[in-house]
Amino acid sequence: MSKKTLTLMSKDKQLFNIEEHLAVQSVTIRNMVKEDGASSVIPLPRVDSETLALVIEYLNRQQAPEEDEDYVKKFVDERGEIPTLLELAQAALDLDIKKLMDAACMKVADLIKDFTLEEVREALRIENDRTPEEEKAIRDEFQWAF
Amino acid sequence: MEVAGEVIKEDGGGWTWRSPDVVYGSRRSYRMWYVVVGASPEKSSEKMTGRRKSLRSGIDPSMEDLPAELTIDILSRLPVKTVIHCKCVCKKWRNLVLDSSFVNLHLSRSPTGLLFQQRVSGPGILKWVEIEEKVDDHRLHPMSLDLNMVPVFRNCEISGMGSVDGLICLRQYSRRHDNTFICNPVTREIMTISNPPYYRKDFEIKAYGFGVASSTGEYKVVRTFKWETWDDDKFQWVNELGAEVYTLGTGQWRRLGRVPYKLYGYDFGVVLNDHCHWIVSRSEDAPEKICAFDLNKETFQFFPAPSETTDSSQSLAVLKGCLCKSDGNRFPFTIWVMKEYGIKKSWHKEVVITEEALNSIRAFRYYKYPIYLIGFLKDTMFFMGGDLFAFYPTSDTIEKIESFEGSRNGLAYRSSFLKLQNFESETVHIRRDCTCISNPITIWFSNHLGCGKLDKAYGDVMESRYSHLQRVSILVMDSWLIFSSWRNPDVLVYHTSGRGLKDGTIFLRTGDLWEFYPTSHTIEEIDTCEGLESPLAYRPSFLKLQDFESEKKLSSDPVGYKIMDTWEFSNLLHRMAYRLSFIKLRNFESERSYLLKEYGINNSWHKEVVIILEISNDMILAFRPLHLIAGLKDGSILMVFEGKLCVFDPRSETIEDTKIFNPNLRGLAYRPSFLKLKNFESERHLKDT
Repeated sequence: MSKKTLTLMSKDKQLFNIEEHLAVQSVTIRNMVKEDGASSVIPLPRVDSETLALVIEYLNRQQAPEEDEDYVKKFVDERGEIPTLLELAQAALDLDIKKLMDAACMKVADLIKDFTLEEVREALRIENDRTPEEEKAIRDEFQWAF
Repeated sequence: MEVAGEVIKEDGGGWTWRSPDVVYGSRRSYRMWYVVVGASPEKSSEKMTGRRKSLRSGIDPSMEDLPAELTIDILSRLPVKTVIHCKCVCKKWRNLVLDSSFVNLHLSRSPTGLLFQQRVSGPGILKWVEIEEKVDDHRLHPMSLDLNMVPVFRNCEISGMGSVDGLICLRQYSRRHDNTFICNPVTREIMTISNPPYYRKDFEIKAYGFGVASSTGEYKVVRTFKWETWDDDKFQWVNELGAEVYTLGTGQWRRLGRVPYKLYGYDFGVVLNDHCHWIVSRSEDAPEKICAFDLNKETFQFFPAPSETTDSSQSLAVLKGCLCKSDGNRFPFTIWVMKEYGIKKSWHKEVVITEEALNSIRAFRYYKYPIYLIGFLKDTMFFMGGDLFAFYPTSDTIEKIESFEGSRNGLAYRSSFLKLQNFESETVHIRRDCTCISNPITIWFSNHLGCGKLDKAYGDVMESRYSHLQRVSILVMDSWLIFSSWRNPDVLVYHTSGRGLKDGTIFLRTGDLWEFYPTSHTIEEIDTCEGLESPLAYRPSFLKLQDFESEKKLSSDPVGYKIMDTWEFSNLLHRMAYRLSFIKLRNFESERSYLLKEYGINNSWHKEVVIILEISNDMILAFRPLHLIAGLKDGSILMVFEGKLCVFDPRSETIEDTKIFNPNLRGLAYRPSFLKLKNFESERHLKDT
């Protein structure tokens, strides 16, 4: 019996094929398959093709369960850039792939944890919407931490 | 903000925090320090390019657009200080950090650790430093979360009485004080648990417990006390044991009635499975030697104890999620583990530490101090007996952690951001002044304390190069290295993560912090970090004490201090007895004078005057009891307040300093008279001078 294949469609309308038994590691896909058999294309409107390719690569891994933890770690380590990781984490969140999301979040946390305030803002492209007074209030509140 | 120092970018690309305030050997006041040790040059340059690349690659995702769930997830994995820094990043983040889902997630990821009280320079100082794991390179992040309780407690003894979800229950005990406090070192919040109205000075508090009832999520302090009561049948004073419970947020103790058996000494209870456990006093003829208090039902019951037991000192702890009991002030020191909670048969003799093993440690003062267990970090067991000891079951070795001499009150502790301010009807103070210390810093040793074996090879290296250290032994504990020197107990070495171990970099300090590279046998001074003492494994979390729903929301301004002491004394006022008690609350305190209308009739005590005083923050601790002296004709009351002779006017409710003089003494009501002492017959007649 040939293995059933699912088709996933990224935000930019690219199609990816993946065997169903691998795809159902994603709880979201599993639920969709359960509901309607998912014969047609599964659209993933928030995931771009680059990220989806990564997710597919991850889902296609052939690791023994005991090596899996290390593999996931290595997988995100190799893609150790914050924007990529954030995309990956978001895709993992949408697709509900817990292990991947955990690993990606962990990696982002590791990367930013030594950053200064400014570096965090820069790295994550966050605009500073706090007035100096507000910032001072926090610094005062947690004086010991600064 | 009082940060004295700056971030310095090193040549190699690493970042270093230098605080000129931290000068080794000096006794200068110590604010806080946060050290990021620069990575070795090759590594750091690699890292820096990696970072720059990630900054340059300008693809769209900004963390601002991320789902809150994801942001919370990422933030919850950050060390506690970084999270606090992140609060400044943007409004959204700040709100996320305040969110209870963040607090809970952070707590769930924060490792359990140990907390010690250090008595290096007098009581009142709880100090710890967290050393967090650095996953991607070999950098050490010692962080201090020192909590200096001296401004709060003055020089009173304080003891940790238990810790749950990052909250610590502290007891201040002296001849004059017997107070209970709850504090969260992360949010710097401290609240006082006032003694109950029925509390009397002769109450002898026997046992404490602090835990959370899972059914209601209520945090409860339970304690038993002894007092003397008159037994009509026996026609004598008899000791009676009572218990009371305080639910955080209710503002009052509730009596639980009598307790039929004495619980062991001043021990704090060990909380597991919604029960608080104590050893039953040896003198009691109880069916079981352990007593448990159900935090949900609020009942005491006996709990199955190991059948085989000695009369020597015993202690309880939680090791790897199991209740555990140690036995023996002398050899062999036995540790029992209850494999299945509540099943008597499952008590199992886990570890027997023999005399030989203990003898291998010098200066083991077991005879002076009872040994008690603190807890487990990974596979390493920690117990105290005057000093801190670590036992590694895998290698069957035991180690005295030299730098923790004088540590007391080891507690298992998990840090959190739970906010005390959310407890209604409690007065919570944020004591920012509790940060500065002029004493050696105590360390929070965080999670990754693994088991390990002695590695003499490193020790030799150290010895040859640094002979002044003499006999350095280096303990390689999985990912940690702890050095200790017999001659200089101040030498403590700790290490970062397992990753750090691979390149063999070791961090140590002999007053200063050093970095040692075994491969090149070089040693470098890293930064000045003073007095790392008393390791505490600590899990930072963002549980906010403020989040306790029913708690009063208070401003985070430093406010006054609530002192639970109740002074009772009587005085004469209008020839009537007064009883005065006062309770300080926030910025004011209320003084109640009770007037005894009919002499000798208890019911006739009548609340005559309530004095509300605005007092400044500085006055709080200097505050001395108020003495009533006399009532004046116009209804005002003469009193000694803060050492000054003052008049309180009940109509305008003001206190006026008479500025007459500062008696600094207790005043006396005095009426001039012409009674002649000479008229006392049998007294010696004295000449008028």
